[in-house]
Amino acid sequence: MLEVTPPDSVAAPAPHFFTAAQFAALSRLSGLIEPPLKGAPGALDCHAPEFLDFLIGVSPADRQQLYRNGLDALNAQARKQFNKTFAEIDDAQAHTILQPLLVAVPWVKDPPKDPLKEFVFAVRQDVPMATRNSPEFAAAGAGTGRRGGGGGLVWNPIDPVYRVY
Amino acid sequence: MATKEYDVLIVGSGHSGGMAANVLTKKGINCLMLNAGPEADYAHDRTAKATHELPFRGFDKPGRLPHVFQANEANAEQWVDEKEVPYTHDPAKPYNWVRVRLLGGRSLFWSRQSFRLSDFEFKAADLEGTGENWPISLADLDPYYSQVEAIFRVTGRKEGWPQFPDGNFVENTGGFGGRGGTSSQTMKLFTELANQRGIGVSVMRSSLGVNGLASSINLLLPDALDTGKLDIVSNAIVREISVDKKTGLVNGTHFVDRHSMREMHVKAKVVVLAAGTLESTRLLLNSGLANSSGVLGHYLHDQIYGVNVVASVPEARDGKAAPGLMGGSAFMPRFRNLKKGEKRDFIKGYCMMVNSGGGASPNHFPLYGEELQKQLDRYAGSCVSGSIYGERPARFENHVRINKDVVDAWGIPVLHVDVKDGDNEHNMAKDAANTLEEIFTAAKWDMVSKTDKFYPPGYSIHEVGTARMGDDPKKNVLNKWNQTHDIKNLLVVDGAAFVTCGWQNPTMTIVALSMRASEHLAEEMKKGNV
Repeated sequence: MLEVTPPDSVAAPAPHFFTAAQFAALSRLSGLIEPPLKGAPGALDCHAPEFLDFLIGVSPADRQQLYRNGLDALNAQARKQFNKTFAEIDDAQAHTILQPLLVAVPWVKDPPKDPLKEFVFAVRQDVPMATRNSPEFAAAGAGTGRRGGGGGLVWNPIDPVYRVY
Repeated sequence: MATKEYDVLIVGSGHSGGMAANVLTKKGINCLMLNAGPEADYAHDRTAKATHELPFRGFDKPGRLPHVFQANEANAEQWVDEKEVPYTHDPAKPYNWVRVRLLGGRSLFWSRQSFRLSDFEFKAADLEGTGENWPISLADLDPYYSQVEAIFRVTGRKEGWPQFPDGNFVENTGGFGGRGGTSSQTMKLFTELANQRGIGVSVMRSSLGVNGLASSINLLLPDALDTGKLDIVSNAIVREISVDKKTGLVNGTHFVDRHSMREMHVKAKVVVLAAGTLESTRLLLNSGLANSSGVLGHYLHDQIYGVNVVASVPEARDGKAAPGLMGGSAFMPRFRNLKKGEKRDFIKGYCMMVNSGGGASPNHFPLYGEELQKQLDRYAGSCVSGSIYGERPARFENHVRINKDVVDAWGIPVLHVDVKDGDNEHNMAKDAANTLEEIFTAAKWDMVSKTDKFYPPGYSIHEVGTARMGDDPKKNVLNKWNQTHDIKNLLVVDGAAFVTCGWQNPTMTIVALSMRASEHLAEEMKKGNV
């Protein structure tokens, strides 16, 4: 078989789902949740916010709304408390906003009922996965000895399935 | 144009259909097997890829398989596409129907946990004073279990406990780590504390199979094909069972070719349904057959999967989780409601699984970033966790019916699933979570997390009932030989026949029942009774 190049190797993602203000808040939040640790790249190095812009953009409406409302709420809180956007506040200020929204969740299928706490829980799940399963993380892992998102046998479409959609 | 009439037409190719074909063909009976999906070619249908190479980085395409929590981006293609073959339910009553239509069905991906039911299940009504007994007992099924265990190479440790019947095992002499495992200090302490509370601790029982696979495609169908008495047609979606209007007996099925949409009919003297509990029942309902009792589609049940209790062993934290201290796993078969008159706020029982040596999860801590990572590092390898499988009672109101307003890709009306959990399930889960917490606390381990929540109905992939067996034709769909009471040459040999499911993975029972029913069918055909 001929060797082909994955798109992430030659092109940058073009975010388009979130507004600029939402995307800036998501980037700031992603950097806090998954910073570079132990020599491994963090969420921003791995373009996790750009990936989540794509993923949430093709997700069911309730997931999209959870993210949009959550990011808008973080910006609103930052303006109210610090007269800045969430992207502009420092780590301590961000922690002041985030701390009341952090809860231990014993069962991942039973997320917090409060929408903002549910959003923060969702981001805490999604950002690490988007980071650690990224090509950037895998490439860095080869150098640092850290494992990326692993891999295995992937089922191809088994035959020309009759699709009704 | 073919006009051949088969002796037996088998719908479905999983464990139950595979066993029917295996038994019947060896007795010289000409069989045809129809399977709704294609044959998988493991060499060509799978490709080794890193997760970061996948377009959704392992998240999978959002919304593709909303009811299949087991699905991920790597295995998504193995499951039935929910848009291609939909089903409906009230959003307030979620149901996870997890399906595979590849040749071999769900047997291809079976977890291989291998248990017998006991008379605590077969004769549950005698103990509980409610519900129905099976028309058979463990003694009736024992010889078939033994043969199935030999074929599947079931490994286990004999305990002599009536609620956990021993079998024809490849003896497991290992410790709590399973085959060849070791007993760590934590598992020894757990065992001591569990035993003090009347809880027996054993090891998991599972099928070794061959080369790690215990499927119909490697254990059952090859021998059937070798007899020269079996034809298999793939991509054949059965629309309806046909009936001879003169005799009232079934005489074949109408099916549609999955790709061309060509409608076909095949003749057979006997029809054996083995399409999986809900597909077999859907076919009967769509055919308007075998429902003089009015209970077809009712008593759908399975097992609750869930409860999660996690504790951390203090002396194993901060990088001190040595192999002798941590590691291994234990299996506790049902220990509740084994005596008549035992007073609890639930009937039936559950089994528990406990594992030692894991870590905490990020969701256990209200932290993020570097602080979270430090906490995870502290707890790495120091945790003991427990979860359960528990029996959902079979209730008349939990049922499926045909939704004529929705059809699948081939125009076949789909199922509407109407199932709701009751107090019994929640009380059982609370008891399990409290029991695990009590033992972990007695061990002086630090509690990390505790929940008595569990997955929605269907998640276990152990759905059974809906065409239950029983002696009374007014209350049951099948007789004790898996024949429909209404039509003697129509059988259902999959999980639909179950009266109660217990806490046990149902596969061994399904296969043993299929073997028993097929042997009886062959005898009846020989005598000219069917």
